[in-house]
Amino acid sequence: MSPSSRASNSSAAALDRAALDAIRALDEGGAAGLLQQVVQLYLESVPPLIAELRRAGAAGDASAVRNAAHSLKSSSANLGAARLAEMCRAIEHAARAGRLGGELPSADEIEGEFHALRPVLEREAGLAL
Amino acid sequence: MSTPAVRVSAALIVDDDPAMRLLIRQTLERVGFACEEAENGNQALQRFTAAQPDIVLLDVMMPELDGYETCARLRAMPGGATVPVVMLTGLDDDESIDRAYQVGATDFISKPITWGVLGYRVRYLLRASHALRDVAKHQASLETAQRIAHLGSWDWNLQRNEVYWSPETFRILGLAPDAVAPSVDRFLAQVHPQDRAAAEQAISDLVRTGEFSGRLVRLVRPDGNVRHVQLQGLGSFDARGAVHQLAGTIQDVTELKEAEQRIRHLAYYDGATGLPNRQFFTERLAQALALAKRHRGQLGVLALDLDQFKRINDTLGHTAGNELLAAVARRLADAVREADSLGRPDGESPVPVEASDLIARLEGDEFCLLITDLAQYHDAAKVARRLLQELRKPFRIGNREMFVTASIGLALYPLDGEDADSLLKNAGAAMHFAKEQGRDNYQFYSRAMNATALEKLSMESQLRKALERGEFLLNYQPKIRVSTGQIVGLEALIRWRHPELGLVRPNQFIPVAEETGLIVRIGDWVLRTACLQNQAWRNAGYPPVHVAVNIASPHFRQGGLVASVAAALKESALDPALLEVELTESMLMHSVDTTLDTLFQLKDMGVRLAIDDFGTGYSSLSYLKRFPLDTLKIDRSFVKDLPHDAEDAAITRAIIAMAHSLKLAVVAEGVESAEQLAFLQQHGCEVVQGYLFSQPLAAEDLGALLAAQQEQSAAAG
Repeated sequence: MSPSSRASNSSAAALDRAALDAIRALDEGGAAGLLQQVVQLYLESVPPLIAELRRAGAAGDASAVRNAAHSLKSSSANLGAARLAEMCRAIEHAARAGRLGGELPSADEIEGEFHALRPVLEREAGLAL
Repeated sequence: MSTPAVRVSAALIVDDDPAMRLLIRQTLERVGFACEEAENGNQALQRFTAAQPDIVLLDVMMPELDGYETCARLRAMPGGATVPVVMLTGLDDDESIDRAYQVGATDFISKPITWGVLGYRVRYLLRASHALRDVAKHQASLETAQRIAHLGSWDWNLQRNEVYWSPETFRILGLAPDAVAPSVDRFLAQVHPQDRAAAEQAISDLVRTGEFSGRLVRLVRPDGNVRHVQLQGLGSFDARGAVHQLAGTIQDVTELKEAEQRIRHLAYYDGATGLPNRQFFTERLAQALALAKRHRGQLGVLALDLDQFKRINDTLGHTAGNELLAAVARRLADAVREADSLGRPDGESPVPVEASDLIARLEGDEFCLLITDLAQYHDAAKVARRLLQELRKPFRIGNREMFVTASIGLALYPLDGEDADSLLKNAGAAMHFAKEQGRDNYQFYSRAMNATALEKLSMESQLRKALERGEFLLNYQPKIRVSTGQIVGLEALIRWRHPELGLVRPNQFIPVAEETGLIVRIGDWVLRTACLQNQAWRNAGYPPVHVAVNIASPHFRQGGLVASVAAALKESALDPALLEVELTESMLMHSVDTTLDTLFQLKDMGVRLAIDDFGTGYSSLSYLKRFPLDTLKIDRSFVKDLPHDAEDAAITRAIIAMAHSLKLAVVAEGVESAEQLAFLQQHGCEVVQGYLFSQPLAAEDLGALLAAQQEQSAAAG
């Protein structure tokens, strides 16, 4: 299965630009500095979370899976990364009930979605060269 | 240009996501918060104390210590109980919201956060929290105020019969808020039994009228402690004008009451001696005067001033002076108390404290005594003498023996004044007069009282001396049998020959002797002397005559008479039939049973019994018949106007007839004229006594008469 086919399982859009506008609105006259910082922090925080998700999933550590999925869900939702947030929510909920793997999005699929999202966010935040 | 300094509110942001912290900080700084951050629960708890945030935003899902646990621990920290804590939770998570409230979260905000609203939301939460804090603060300061004022509040919903007591109300009642449910009955159960009826009345008045104020009742706490409380209440009325809600206060005024008593004591007592002060004395005197006016009683005010106290003070110093004053006060108080208890006859109910005598210290070395229930004015003099006597006993101050005397002035109500001021003033004036008289004495304000009091006092001491010095003597007046002209009896009459005053008449000293009790010793002496004299005449060979002795009422009533008579007869060896005891009607009628007893004892000894002054008292003829009498003596008052006064003549005739029918001898006394003698003789009175025949004679002269009679009869025989 291709990452895109998995990702398309979620009905959510890849990026809700209203969330980014709300952040921009907090930074009146700030020359987009705030959004840049937030996106930067987000982009830095995601790879370790995906790695944790992968490690914990392999170890069958539902609690650790849940925590990592929650953090990733929460920060992704914050930046309007609705599809990624939705995928993480599904993992978090299942992990809370002790379920791992199966039909749930895999770490690879999460990583695929993140790689697709990353250039879009960088562009939005003016981080792209 | 500067803006007014506004305290910046501080927020503590706790989230493990740095992007989230950054956004929250940005949001809150825009609405004026200063922000502190923590990236996990432990860090949050560490920073909380230093940061003293006004609000905490706390993420739920965090590594190490999660948000719930952090919130719970934060609540237990100093200052952590009241700070608003907003928990950041997922929207999809009802369970986490429940838990957030359980651990004490103030509110929650769901993620993803709507940034535009967050600032308003947090500001609103902070304001609400401040409002709550203010309420709590007012509540606390109200409680503190209530506690400081010992003022509890309560309210009572009459429709639901729900009662609320404030914490201070519980404290005043001595009840634990978690152990007792407030109720009107519970309150009444705490009220002192003696005040319960009044409290119930106050409550029913309150329910009816919607107000009462200032009712004082006593409470008995479960530990037995009694508290004085003041109750106030006010009702609210419903549309129909009925009271439906009551609210009020209960104030513990015990300390106030105690302070009042202390103040009262300070105001009414003298600190140095513990005696009542002038204020107390004046008020009590006014009360006693009001009482005396109603009951037509008499009062005495006695002013006492130590003699030369200033000199004592100057020589020995103020400390010794004050000690002496306190000792004087104690002695005076003891003397008054003793006199008070001794002065009351047995069996009489104890007088209420208000009516008892009162000694006070007016100022310096000036004392004052109120004598209530003054039966006669002269009793005040007795008290004065007693106090002077008590003060003459030595005082021991430190290891020094000291002697003081006092001068006393006496003012009497109503004689010397009708109000407190004039009585005090006049007692003081009399006291100064006593000082002028040479100190250590007492003076009445009224000079006439002084004269008689002094006379009486000196009479009493002179009488005592008279017995010791043998100043008494007996005269004898013969009783003559009319038919033969012979002396058949004698009446012994006491005389007092005072070395300076000369002969003192019996009516001058007998009343004082009776009043002071000296009459009993005098009576003994008379009995002995009369018996000895009569026996001496017998021994001289003179014809036998009986000698009559007058017995005074105290001697007869106090029961020593029989023994006195027996002793006199024994000592003199006189034939008892030659002794006649003369008693008055009123003495015999006083207590008939004991009288009969005494009379028969005397009769059994063989002594003759006569009723003196017959006709002046109120004899019951039936008793007269039961008494073992020998002689009736017709009083001189009937004899005096015989035979011209028809009434006296009738009475005299009746007495003579009655004596005859009772087989009693009859003697008329005070016979001074031939006309009187003729009348008496005509109506059968055989024996007479009076100046017509002989005045009372000294023993030698009477002995001569008897000797002459002896010779006559010998010559005739």
